[in-house]
Amino acid sequence: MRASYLNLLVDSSHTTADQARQAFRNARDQLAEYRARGG
Amino acid sequence: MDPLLLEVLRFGTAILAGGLVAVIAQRIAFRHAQDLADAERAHRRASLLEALAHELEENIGRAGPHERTRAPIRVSQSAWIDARGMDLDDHLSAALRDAYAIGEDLNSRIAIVDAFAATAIAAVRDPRWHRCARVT
Repeated sequence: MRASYLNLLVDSSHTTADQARQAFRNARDQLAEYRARGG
Repeated sequence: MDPLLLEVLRFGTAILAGGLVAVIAQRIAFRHAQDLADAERAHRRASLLEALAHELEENIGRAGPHERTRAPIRVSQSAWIDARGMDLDDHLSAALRDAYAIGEDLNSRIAIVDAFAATAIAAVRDPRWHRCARVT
């Protein structure tokens, strides 16, 4: 039970990490564009 | 010409010339100070954007690989906190806000996993109840 709950928590953190990775990539690309435009 | 009048004229001209020089010097100094302040502001802005770019790159790495071969690490927010007051493009601001909001959520989930993994649990061996009691 404890192990399965921990697995659930770990899986949830991985899912959030996937979303975070995508969001940070998007922000990085937009920042690079902004800086390239001289912002 | 009356020597006294001449002296008064000289004195007046000297005062006017001195005043003019003072005004010009003050304007030059003010403009120079303004240029320095502008340069400092531009430098600070460029530094903040540079730090933000590094932090975003670092956080992409901290989120872990797509294959999930290692656990994610807490993301960093220090550059974002410093850059928060900057006047940025609307789309960029929205993208940064979204990214750091998800990053904060990730940090919270990592903290829950860490706390849970570090806490001893005494499980009740009763399949009907599936209860467990936490031993602190």
